[in-house]
Amino acid sequence: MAVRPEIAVWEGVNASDPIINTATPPADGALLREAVAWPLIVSTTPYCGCAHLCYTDPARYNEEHPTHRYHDRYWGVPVAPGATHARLWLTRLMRHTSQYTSLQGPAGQLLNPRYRFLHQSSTTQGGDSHPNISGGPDGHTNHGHGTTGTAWDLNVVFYFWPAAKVSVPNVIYDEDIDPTGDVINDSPSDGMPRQLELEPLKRSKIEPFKTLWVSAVTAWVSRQDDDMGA
Amino acid sequence: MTVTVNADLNLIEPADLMLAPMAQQPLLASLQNLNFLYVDHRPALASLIPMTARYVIAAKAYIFGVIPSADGIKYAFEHRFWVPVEFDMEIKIETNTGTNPASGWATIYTDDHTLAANVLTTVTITDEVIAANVTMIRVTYTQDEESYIPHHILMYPDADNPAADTGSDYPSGFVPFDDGMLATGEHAPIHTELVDRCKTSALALYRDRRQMVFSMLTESSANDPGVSSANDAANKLPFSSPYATLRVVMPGAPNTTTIDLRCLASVSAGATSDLVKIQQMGHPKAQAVTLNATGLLVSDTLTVYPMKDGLTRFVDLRISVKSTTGNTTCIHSLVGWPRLVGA
Repeated sequence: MAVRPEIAVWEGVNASDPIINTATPPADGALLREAVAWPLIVSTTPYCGCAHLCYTDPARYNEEHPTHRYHDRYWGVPVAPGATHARLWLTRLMRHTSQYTSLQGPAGQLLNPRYRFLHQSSTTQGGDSHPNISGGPDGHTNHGHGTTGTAWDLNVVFYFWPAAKVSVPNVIYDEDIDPTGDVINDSPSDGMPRQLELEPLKRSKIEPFKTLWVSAVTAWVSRQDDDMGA
Repeated sequence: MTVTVNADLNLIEPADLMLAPMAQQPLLASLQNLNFLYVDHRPALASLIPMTARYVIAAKAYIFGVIPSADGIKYAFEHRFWVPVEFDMEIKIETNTGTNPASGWATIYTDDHTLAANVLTTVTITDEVIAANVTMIRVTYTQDEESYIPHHILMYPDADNPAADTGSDYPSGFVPFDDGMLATGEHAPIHTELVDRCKTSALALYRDRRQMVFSMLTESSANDPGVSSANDAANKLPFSSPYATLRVVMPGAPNTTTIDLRCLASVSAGATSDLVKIQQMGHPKAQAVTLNATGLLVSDTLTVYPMKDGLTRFVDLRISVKSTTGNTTCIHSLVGWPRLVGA
């Protein structure tokens, strides 16, 4: 029978409540099942996804700055046992312009708001042809800077914030939070939006990531092993 | 099928009424998993991406609050860099048990590391014991000739923390498993405590190894102009929020979850009270907390209400800042850890 990772539901759980108070417990299956379950739950419940603010330059609150907006970020995440795939929440924050058909790029050029997202993994699980590429929520492929394809149109939220270190009063920022792709395809023939494969292990590991063009990022385990014993 | 008629009355001994005794397994394997957990449960106590200009040429110091294990365990640090020219970087790690970053630092690690050109260099520093009463960590990168990008600071329990019999319970509440009786004793009793230990020790460990769920990190120097809110005539709202919304993922988090906050912020001059705000977004019961920018490490809590279930359970948080007239407010670090399991 398959041994699946457990996901905790911590609501109402108290660490000091015993499983049983009886001095001489019988060999009850339910009792043993619970005794076996708790270490597994603690071990395989995915670690919380830490959300990072990751501006290149704190003076650049948005991504308009021509030097800094392309900046990549290398980072790592501890991953609990039993995880097979991960996704990321990406927050992008840009200053709104009155001519909002696209964002204003350097030297007056229109800048289609695309981004590149790469995943660098020490695993060799799947994806040999494009092991380190994952796409974004709009489905366009991402091979690097300036790719062709559909721009990632931000959902215009119209957060109305006052100017902060910006000379223009009452600057409006557009923000969107989107996940990376949800398709599971560990051996794509081409770059595509997909979940990021993780090497399924029975121990924790540190998974390296690389992202580009995001204002904040969170990695989270999106799928767990169907059978850790397989 | 045969209808059997006994020649005599069958006598059933009382002992025959006993159910099968509880065996070593699977309890033994589960208890051994506790000892494994003590080594392998390694969520990030700190995970911070410095908000620093690209290719800096200067020493950089970063200070952030921590809530380390009560057991005084070893931690590992990972530092990620990208440099265009190979050079040696001095990395120093210091701890502080107070709230004033101006004093009280104790160096636990200093060494030079060669950073290769145009590739990612991950410097992993292991076996650094962090006492339970440590409140702040300072990481300093010293280099003044070549440019570099500090990408990430990651801190997590070291793999070299073997559970051992200390003669008493661990401060965290974890009790390691000694298999002397259960594994080797003939007909050793299966005590209730062994069953309960599978839960209580596992959850004591889970509560003790705090998991950072959001982070904002800038240089620790006062009046860093980058992360600031300058009051100006255009300000029509009390707080500026130039920072992106943080989506925190917390699998299994209770419907009402408390996040412990640690903030280090300062002002160029003027009042210091209630200048930093963190709030949940997108929930009808969302709350906010304001923090002081005194230049000292400030502690507080924020109550949040996670949404969705399972692996996708999340909370959206936003950090904002305000300034008094003519002054500048700087957030140097703002981090948080949830309380996921009740005591």
